[in-house]
Amino acid sequence: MRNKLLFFAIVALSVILLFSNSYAAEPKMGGVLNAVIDTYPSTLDSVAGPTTANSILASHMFETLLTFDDSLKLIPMLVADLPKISDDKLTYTFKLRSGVKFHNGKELTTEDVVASINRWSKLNSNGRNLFKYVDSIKVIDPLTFDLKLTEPLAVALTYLARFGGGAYIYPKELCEKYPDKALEEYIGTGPYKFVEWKTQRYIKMDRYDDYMPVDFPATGFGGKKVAYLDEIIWHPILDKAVRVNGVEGGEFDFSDFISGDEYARLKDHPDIQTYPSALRASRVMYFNKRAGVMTDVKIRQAVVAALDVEPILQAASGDENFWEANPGIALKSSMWWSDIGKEMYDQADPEKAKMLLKEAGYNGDKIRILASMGETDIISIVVKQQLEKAGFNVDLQISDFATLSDRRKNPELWEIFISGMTWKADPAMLTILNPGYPGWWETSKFLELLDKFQIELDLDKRYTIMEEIQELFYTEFPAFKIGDYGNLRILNKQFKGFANFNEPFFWNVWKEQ
Amino acid sequence: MINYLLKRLLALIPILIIVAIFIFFIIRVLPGDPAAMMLGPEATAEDVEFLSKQMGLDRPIPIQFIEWISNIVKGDFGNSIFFNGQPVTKVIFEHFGPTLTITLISITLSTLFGIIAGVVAAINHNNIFDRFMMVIATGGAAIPTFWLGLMVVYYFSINLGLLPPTGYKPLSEGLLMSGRYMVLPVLTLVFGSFSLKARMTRSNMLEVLGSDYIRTAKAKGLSELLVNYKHALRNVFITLSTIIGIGIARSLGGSVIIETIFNIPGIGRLLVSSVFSRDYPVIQGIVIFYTIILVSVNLITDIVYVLIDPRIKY
Repeated sequence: MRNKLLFFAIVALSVILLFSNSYAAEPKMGGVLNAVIDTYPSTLDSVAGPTTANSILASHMFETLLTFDDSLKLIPMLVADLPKISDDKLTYTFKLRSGVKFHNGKELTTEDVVASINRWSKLNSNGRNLFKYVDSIKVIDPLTFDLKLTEPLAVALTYLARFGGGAYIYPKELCEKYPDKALEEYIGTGPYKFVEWKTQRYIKMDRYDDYMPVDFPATGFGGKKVAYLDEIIWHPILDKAVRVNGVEGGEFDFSDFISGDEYARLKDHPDIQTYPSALRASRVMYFNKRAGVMTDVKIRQAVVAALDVEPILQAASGDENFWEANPGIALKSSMWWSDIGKEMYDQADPEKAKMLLKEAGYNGDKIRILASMGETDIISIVVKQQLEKAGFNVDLQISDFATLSDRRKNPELWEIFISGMTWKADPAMLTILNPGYPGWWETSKFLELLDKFQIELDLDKRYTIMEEIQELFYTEFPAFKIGDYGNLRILNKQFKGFANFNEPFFWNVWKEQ
Repeated sequence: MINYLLKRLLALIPILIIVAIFIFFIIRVLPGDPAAMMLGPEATAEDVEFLSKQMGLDRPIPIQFIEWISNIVKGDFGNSIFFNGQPVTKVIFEHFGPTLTITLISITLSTLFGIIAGVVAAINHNNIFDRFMMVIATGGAAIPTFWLGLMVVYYFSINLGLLPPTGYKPLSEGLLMSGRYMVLPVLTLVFGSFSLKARMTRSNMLEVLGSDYIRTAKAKGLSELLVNYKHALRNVFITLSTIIGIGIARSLGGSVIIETIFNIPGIGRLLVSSVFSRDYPVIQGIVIFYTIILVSVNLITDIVYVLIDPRIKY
């Protein structure tokens, strides 16, 4: 009798535990998330202000026609399927999902899309770049439109889909009200809707109850998005220590851009989950090829020969979970990665650099290095030491970013500037491959390859061209990519479902009550 | 007195004109562009130029100045370039509230504690209490505010979990709620600022307590309480009023360090972030606003002198 009772007690307990565990694993609706961002957003209109911070907020409220999955391949978002491409590769036919509503209840149609794309083509550099190749946009019906190009362009859809500065879709009325400046009202189709913005205090978003998700599983920036949280409140906090204190003290639930040095301390914290992000950006030294001593390729080669990348990356990012030496232009995780030219990377050979300087006839001209306060100033200090060891005469000029951005546009004022470069879905959009970006890689060989790369639609052929570009990168030395880095994110353990993708987002995140 | 006040108020007009001209042109000498800040570090010079043109920043500076001045006369300080196009006056007043609240509380408490500490130290001159108070006061002056702020957060918030580590809640959200967020920043500010008041009070009290009329008052048989607090202390207030006035004027400009550590959306932080983002209208607006505050506080201080010492006449 006693054994029977014990048996039934065990069974009952097991059933209770089974269901309680299942219950704990199930997402729940409700709760508020207090998230920290590391800078003051200038606008919630990523079209007008395509910075990372603006776009992280914007992505919760607005959507593009297409987006990227977790391997950065294009997937539908506001369209029903990827567009049909004509045989001549010039005409893209888009069909919108029906029944998608804006936050004001208005149903999305092609007139909103066309108005948004036209506005984007004027306000945003991605839009202006795409529209150099656009012949026309033709509305077929309220859910269908054609985009016709003047020549094939591999990156056409990537421009539209970009997370930062892509063609976010707004109601036609808003586009007409704010044709040439940032929106001052925020109405989108995303899972969260705008509530309030108190400057330098917070931005509030509430769940949009009539949000219509796509019907395939969540992946990357897209797939099915569910707004489990009632509200997300974003708090801009510039200081790293204050961000950490805020989450540890329970005032906030999430922060990105925590110093990698905090990882060892926080990874076993009872209340905080640490999320080292995937490597998502690179540290780059851009060489001025329009004026001064760096126009000499031998001197650029000497700079590259002198550099020992690991101390530089460690100084900037701390814990080795947050940086990686990488000779490729692309991230190692990307389909575009190659190690062509790796013998030129991370040489750490000051003697070779001295020899190259002698061959170039370097007579001690100042190498002015521009860096801004934050992490690039730390990088610049280590770089200066390494270059001086190799015989360079370095003049380090650290300033705020506004000053740096002003100075770097004048080629008479600098030889090298150091900056970060975020990874993009297509290498054609990287600043390191942008001829118009300060540094100005404008050789005919490179421009020819870049043109071919942007036009070619076949992926294998594009990869081959990318390898040629990388080979040229390690011959002409237009810049030097020091290495890749990620950042530390921390989240209160009460919150589940965080995807920890390239940029943080909180759809599909729920709070354990 | 009325004539004096009117003259002082009229004098504000040329001061504001000079300040307006100065700040408008000086910030445009700084390198950098608000358009570059809005677009981020990966924008090309072409993108920045395009946005600059759209924002009207490429127009000749004198034209921009005339437009700005003529709008100010109508009470329109323009819109923030960086903060979502909001009116500058709205941005400034939203940020002045937290600074004003924290300033008034911390000035009141630091003055109160400073006077008490200074008076008690002076009366108990050279004994253990005097020395203890002066050590505390010196500590308050010597300890860097940023370090003290981080330490109080670490101990009271992260270690003990007693108080929130950062943030600000206005009084409209409830006295208790608002108070919890103000304890640590006010504590940090008070500890830093009461020391000067304590030391000035002590040194002035010692000077006054050694004077002839105090000796006469004691000789007349007046109690210690009456001598110290009615006759001596009142004479200390003139000097103290100057310090308090300067303290209020400085504090109303906001403490960037306190506002950064405790994430208070105050005017100090607003000014610094506006300078970094080259938000010209906000910078100009804050400087004009602060000039008015400074002149007003000085005027009020002068009036207080008359109330304390009727011998003073303007």
